[in-house]
Order: sequence, then C-alpha cells, then structure tokens
Amino acid sequence: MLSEYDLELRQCGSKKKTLHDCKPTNETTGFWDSPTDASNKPLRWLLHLELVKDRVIARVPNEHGARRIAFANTAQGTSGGVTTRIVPAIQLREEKFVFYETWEWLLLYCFLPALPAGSSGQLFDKFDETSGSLTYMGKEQQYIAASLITLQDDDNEFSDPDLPRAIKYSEATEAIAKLIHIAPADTAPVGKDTE
Amino acid sequence: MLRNVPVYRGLEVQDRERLIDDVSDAYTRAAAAIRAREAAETEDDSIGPTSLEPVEIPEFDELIGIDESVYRQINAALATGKQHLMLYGPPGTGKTTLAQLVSGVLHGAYAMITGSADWTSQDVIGGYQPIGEGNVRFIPGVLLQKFDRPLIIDELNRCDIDKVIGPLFTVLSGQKTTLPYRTDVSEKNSPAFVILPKPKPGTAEHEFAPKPGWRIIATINSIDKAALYQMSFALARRFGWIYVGIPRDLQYFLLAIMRKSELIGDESEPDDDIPLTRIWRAVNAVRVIGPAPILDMLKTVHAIEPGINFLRAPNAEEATAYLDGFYMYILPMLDGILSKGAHTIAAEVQSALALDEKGEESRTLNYRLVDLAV
Repeated sequence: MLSEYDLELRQCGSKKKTLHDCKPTNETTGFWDSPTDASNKPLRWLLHLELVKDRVIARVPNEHGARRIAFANTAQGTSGGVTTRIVPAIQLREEKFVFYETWEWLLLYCFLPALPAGSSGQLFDKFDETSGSLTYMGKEQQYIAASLITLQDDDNEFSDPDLPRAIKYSEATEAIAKLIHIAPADTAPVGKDTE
Repeated sequence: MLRNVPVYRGLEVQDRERLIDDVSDAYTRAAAAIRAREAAETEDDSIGPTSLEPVEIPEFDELIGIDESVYRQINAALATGKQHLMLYGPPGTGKTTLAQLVSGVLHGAYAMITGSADWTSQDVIGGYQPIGEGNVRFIPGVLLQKFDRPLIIDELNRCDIDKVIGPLFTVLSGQKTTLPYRTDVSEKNSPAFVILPKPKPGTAEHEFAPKPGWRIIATINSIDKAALYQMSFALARRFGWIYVGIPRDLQYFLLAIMRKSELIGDESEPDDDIPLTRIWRAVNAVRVIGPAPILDMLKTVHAIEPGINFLRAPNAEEATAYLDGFYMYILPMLDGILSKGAHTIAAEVQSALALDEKGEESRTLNYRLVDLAV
C-alpha cells in the first residue's frame, strides 16, 4: 500500500526482541532506569496501567522523556508510516511496577506526504495524549491516520498477589485507547471506537 | 477531528483487513486532498488544461503546408497515451512552431530550450552549483524547474542526447531515478534527489515529480541523419515519432501563400511551374528543405523587387533578386551536398531564372554551389 505512494514503513524498536535487550528498567518508577539515556532513542513506549476502583486506567509516566514515543531513520525522506511498540508497566502498589511484556500493542502513525528527511534517529516527541499532537524535528507533525493494534487475545490475563483481581488484556486495551486521542489532518481510519 | 485512537485486533484476520482498508482509505483521501490543493495552486498560476485531459489538436491556420497526416498522427499518439512526441523532418517545415502550438493547446504554457552541443546534464536536469561562502547546493535544471508543463526541446539532435537527458531514461521508462546529488552536501546520510516518473501528491523535499501537464515535445532535423541515430532505441521508443515533411504540392502551396500575401491575384493560375517552384523542386531533389527558407527567399525577392510578377520568368534585375534570396536562405541549407547535386541545382536555377549560361551570375551560382559540395 505504501509503495503506491513511494513511501516506506519505519518500525521503531523492531530489532530488539525484549525489553531486556533495550535498556535497563526501574520497577520503582515503572520507567527506564536512566530516563535521559533511554529516551534519547526510545525502543519502547512505556505506559503505566493501574487498577483503580476496579477499573483499569492508563497514563503516560511522569518521567523525563516519557512523551518521546518513538524514533526512526527518516534520512531518506520516504517515511510514510511509523510504528512504535507499547509495553505496559503495571502498577501493583506504591512504587512497585511490573513490566509485563506478554502484553504489547503497536501504535501506528501514517503520513502523507512523507515525513521531511531527518536523521537516522529522528525523534517523535512531545506527544500530548489529550490533543493527539506530537512533534517531529521540532515542529508539530500532522498525520493522516493513527491506529492502535492489539497483539494478544482479549481474554489473556495478568494477575499478581498484590492486585485485588486479574486484569484482562481487553481492559488494558480499552484503557490505552481511552488515553490516546488522535487528530488526523485529512482523514482517519474508522476503527472500533472505545468511547 | 479529535477522537480516541481506533483499535484493531491484530490477531484477527477480519480486523487486519479492516485496518488495511481504513489506512488505505486514509492515504487515498489525503492524496486526493493534496491533488486538489495542487490543482487550485495550478489554477492560480493560470496554467491551462492538463495534458491528461482528452484534447483534440486542430489544424492550425498559422501553419500552411502541414500535411493532414501530421495532425492525424499527433492526435492518435495522444489518444493512445503516448506522453512524449518527437517531431522530425527537414529544416523549415514548421516543427518548432507546431510544437509550440500543440503545447499551447495541451497546456496553455510551455518551456522551450534549443539544443546545443555545449549542453550538459546540469543544464537540463541540474547539478551542484556554488551558492557562496564556499558552499554548494543542487540547483535544478530547466526540466525540473518547469516540471509542470510541456518542455519543448528544439533541435534535440544538436546536443549529446545520451549525456544530457540520460538521467531521464529511467523516468521515461516509468521508473524513478536517483540523481547523484544529496539534499545536504555536508551530510552524507541525507537523501539523494530522485525524479519520479509520474505525478505524486505531496512530494518530499528531495523528490521531483512531474505535474500532469508535463511532457517532452522534441524536434529533430532529419538532415543530420547521423545525429538522429545517436538516440538509442530504448529512448526513441518512449516517443511518438511524427514526420513533418514538406507540402505534397509545392506549386499549390506557393500560390496559396502568394495569394494570401496578395503578391498575386486570386485568379492567377499558371499552367507551368513558376520559377520559385522549379528552384524548390530542384533543391529537394538533392536535399529536402521545408517551406520556411523558401518563404524567406520569397520575401527577400519581393523586398528587392516590389513589383515583381512571381508567375513568369524574371528579367535580369529580378533574377538578381531571386539569386540574392537564394544565396541568403537556400544556400546555407545545402552545405555538404554532393558535387553532382550542386551542378544539378545550379543548372535548374539557371534555367528557372533564364540566366545566361556563360554570364557572370551563372558562373557565380555554379561556383558557390560547388564550393559547398563534398
């Protein structure tokens, strides 16, 4: 599909299979152990999940670099799509998180025209989940579509003795979809809306 | 419009197909929006209809003597989607004017360049040029600067075709071509400029994509057959080749021109070939030339002898005027003819102008023609 427009898909973090292959994480903060270093080229976008009053909520960690959602090699000026891998840090209690890699999501952003040619590690930064805006090369970057792609069975569960009950993957998906707003420039895919 | 991100279940075939459909739809709609914006910009520039629209090329009143088969073949080439046209034929047959008129009908605007042996790819495609303070930058050539309208390359055979438009071979074959120039000379990873073969909505900074109106209309002078065959078959077959020859009936053509210019009356209808027809026919027997130099000769004769009767054999003064026109406009077209041909032309001109065989003017005519011959 992208080749019809002479475009290519950039898959951020696809060469690192596990979180362990990326950068050290911190179970106290539910984020990278060294945020400045890790978010320079974020191989995963880490999101917090928490069970609050029997409801799963998702939020962007209050950490340096948490809104840098991806980086990509855009030097060729042909980037028409970027995916980033979302990994949840599930909060068990105060200052206690678990990075549950069994669950992942892909967040896809589509661009036409192609992203302006950048560097081999160009950041997508300052993601604002409330307005759907993000920046690229220091400027707000428009996109034509964005999609959240699930990679696990809806009924898959995560449980831990510190949690009052098990959490389903579908609940986590719904929480993330509620968190992430999008504002496509020209058009948007008609997906399953969770609101 | 602000909304929650839509969800697609990656493990379910139906949802994956839905994702592909929806994303594809987004690209289609975005591309259409870009095209609409670009079309609006094009309208602002007062550019005419694009060449992709079906347009019938009419016979142009300005061009007398163009055979109807030329128009028929041009329209057939356009109707069958042939994007590029090559008008070839003898000099002076109106190829350049025809290219301009066709471009005008197709698009309303065009860029025109005339082939030169000094041309390089940099002139046409582009290349690095100094921009001051020790820096260089890629500067697009005339083709890429005017990638939105027909480009007329007049007398294409005068340049080294392979060298000059070689980088376009791939584009003319429907593939994109990458130029050996980067967007940022100082950054080795910066993207190289590419030329795309067809219009693309929302081109990136490093991409050159033609607008729908772009096409090449080239002219080639078929006198120089050696140069003509420098063009490779691969390139030649990207063009629709239209032969623009001389008028089928030389006498009819000349009389029509003379009547239109009021040099002769409407009722004038000579039984035999007039002097100018005889001269043109003699020249064509050796080397075919188009109407333009003949008409220039006609105007010259009339300027020198305003009262001349073109339908009868000239007197001595009028013959001198004919010879002046011949030397000014016909002789330069005959460089390199064979000696035998030079004598043939000299004899016929001498006869048509009723020159004294042993006279000074006959000797000069013969000498000057033979001097050009090989």
